[in-house]
Amino acid sequence: MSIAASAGAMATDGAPQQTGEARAERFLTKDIWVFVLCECAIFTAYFIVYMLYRGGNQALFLSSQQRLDPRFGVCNTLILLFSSWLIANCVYSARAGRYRAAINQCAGAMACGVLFVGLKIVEWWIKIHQGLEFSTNEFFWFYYFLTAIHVLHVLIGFIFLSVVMYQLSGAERRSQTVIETGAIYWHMVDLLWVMIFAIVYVMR
Amino acid sequence: MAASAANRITLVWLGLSAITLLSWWIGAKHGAEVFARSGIVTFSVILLAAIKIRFILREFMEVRSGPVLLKRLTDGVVVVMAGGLLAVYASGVGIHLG
Repeated sequence: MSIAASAGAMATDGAPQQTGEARAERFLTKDIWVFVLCECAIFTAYFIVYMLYRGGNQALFLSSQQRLDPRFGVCNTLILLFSSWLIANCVYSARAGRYRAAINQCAGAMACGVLFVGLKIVEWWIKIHQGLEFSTNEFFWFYYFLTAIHVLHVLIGFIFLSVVMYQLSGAERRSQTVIETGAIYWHMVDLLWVMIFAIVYVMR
Repeated sequence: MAASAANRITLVWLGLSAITLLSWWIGAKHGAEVFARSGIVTFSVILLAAIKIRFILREFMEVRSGPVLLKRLTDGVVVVMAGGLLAVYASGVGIHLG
């Protein structure tokens, strides 16, 4: 049963007696979804504020947007989608008891994350050397703010995936709930980037 | 069962990657020399992003097999995010400093 399905099962579970482990799993299952929904709400607020500033100075935003290289945005989107696919497969492998494959898939997802952050640093470095810094104009405030806050989420994702790897590597500590919680966090990082790519790199 | 689920998410991943390239193509095709405001490009790109986000939620995050409340909440997130952005864009409302 997936963690999404178990969130529903637990919501209707009226059993008065639960073990400490069951309570902990229930806490984790519900909380990751509350966390994801809150993060989406916070990022939606950022995106709306970006759009309001954009509406106030469209010419500036369009000319500044043209200074970005969309190939970085496309590559980073494809990298995160691939990492999401890997971590989804990691969950399936863990459910099937194929823990070696699950570890490899989780490691692959982390490697994609490292590549994403590396490309982002190269992109920032190029922009800064072109004189396009945080203080250049309103567009670049948002460009650096949105991409940096997202990179921060990727870095936090490394902690989640490290926990997943740790869990998968020892038979005595494997918890499918913890593994799937880490996977859901990583998918959320991908989900948020999809909209950042659309509004920062592509829209007009 | 596991094999069909893995095949399904592989198809979803390929579809999402194709949509990403389509979004890029839409943006690159429009205003190669000078970027200009385009409602068609913006509407298309944000709509495609919303479709991608819903697929990530439903398929990768397995909301598809989750409770109705979770499905509604996540659909609400997609609608508010994309709808809010498009509403602000279409209304022309903006904040101008200085």
